[in-house]
Amino acid sequence: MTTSSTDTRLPEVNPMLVITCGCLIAMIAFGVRSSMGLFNTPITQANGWGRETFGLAMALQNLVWGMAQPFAGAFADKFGTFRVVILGSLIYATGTALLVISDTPGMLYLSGGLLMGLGIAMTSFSVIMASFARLVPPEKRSWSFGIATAASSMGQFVFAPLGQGFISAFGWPMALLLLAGSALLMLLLVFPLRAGTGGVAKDETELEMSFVQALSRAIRHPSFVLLTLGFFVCGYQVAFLTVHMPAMLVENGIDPQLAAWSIGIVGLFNIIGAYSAGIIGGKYSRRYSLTMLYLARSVVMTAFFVVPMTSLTTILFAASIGLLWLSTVPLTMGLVTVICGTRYMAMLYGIVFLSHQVGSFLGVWMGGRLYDLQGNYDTVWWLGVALGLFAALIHWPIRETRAPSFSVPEGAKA
Amino acid sequence: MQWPGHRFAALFFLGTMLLFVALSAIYMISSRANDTETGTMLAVFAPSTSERDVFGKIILAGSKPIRPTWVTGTWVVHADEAGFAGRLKAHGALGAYTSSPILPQLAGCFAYVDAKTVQLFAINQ
Repeated sequence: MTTSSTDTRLPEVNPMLVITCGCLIAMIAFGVRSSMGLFNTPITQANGWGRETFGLAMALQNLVWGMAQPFAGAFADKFGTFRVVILGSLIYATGTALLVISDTPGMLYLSGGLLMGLGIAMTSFSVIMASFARLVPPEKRSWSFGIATAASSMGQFVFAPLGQGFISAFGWPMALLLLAGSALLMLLLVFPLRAGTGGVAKDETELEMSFVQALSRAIRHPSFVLLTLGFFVCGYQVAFLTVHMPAMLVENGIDPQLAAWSIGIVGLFNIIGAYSAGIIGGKYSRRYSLTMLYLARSVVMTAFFVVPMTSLTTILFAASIGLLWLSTVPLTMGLVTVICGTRYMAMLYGIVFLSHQVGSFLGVWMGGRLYDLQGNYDTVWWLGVALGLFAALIHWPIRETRAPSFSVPEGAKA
Repeated sequence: MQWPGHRFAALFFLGTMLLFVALSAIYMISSRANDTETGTMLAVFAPSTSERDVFGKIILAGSKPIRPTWVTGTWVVHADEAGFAGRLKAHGALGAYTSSPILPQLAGCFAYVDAKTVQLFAINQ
């Protein structure tokens, strides 16, 4: 059994610059992707397609993102976040730019689906948080996960008007090229993170093993499996609400403008929630925090469904669920780090995230399918509540300590 | 080595919010409708105007009310006759904005503030 510790030849980092650039990368990676909805109408009209073609490309993008995340993570663990983000931003920019000349569905699936999905996986907050975990001291680690997640959410706010502004001013093809240019900015921003290369966190010693071994050990550890199952629920609830909530609100007599705004309110409170979760994760038990968080989601979803739906209850629901939205991310990432260490954290978080994306797919698909069958969202909503309770339950027994199979023997520590 | 904390986070997010507000304001300014323009628009009336009065003014301006927005006094309206935006202003609208997919989401406070600013600037001239 071999161990690895920090490479002492690594250059000293500027803390402020590391956090700022990492957050800006997370913001751009999430922001460009979030603005794709603005191009739905112009691209489908220009090519004479139905909405399904563009929708399928975006669905493919999400699926590729989820499936590529463990590999992007493994790449980051082995070769460093720096190299992954460099390659990822080039792929991301290429995919975005190729949308301009995508005049067949196949080309659209390749550019907007496959390439953009790969690019997002290689530049998203997952790899940024892995880099932070290696650079930031342990006592600041959870805080750094929180700020990276919150910055991603902030990207949605900034890039929505930016994308629309580009479309209004220059037309959609040039707007896409400008967004591709924004993705290329990540090439410059990643330089301060080059010290956060693959390997282990500063002043820490980790077991050295192959990626297959690390994966095999993780999935045999009950706490890691429970965490992965729990994140499936997060994906189910979040994706279902994002896609179906506005329509459900309108059907229940809520003003369409407020219904559209409700997602914005969720996004705004999500920033506060994600950042706060980072702080909470640094001070209190992450498993209990996640238990409470999933329980609170179920309580909020139940309360909103049983009381009469009004503008006030809609705003209160959007704000409450926003606080609980991506708050799971810093806590879940934190637990992966605690249980499995920092050496293979990007890949192992990628596995947990894959479960999230499967949940997302099912949440969106089942929402539509059950609505078509039953004419309402009742079943899928109550299923979301039940899954929230299930997630709360399975986070409780998670052991917030290093898994024995990832523990470094006392004598081998640096 | 001193790592940043809450103060840094506050400044980072405040700066980003300011950027967002600036971008939104620039977007609203670029969406202002000239008096001669027509089509589907966002009409902004003073928030103190009752919904009944707003509805009446929209009809008097020769337009068809499509839907109110979540902000009081702000309606999505439509007319095909030339000079529609000018007529809306003549009937008490603070401003009119050309429609776009994102406009109803971004409008509201920004539309009111921008329309009011334009009005005050016009008085000072």
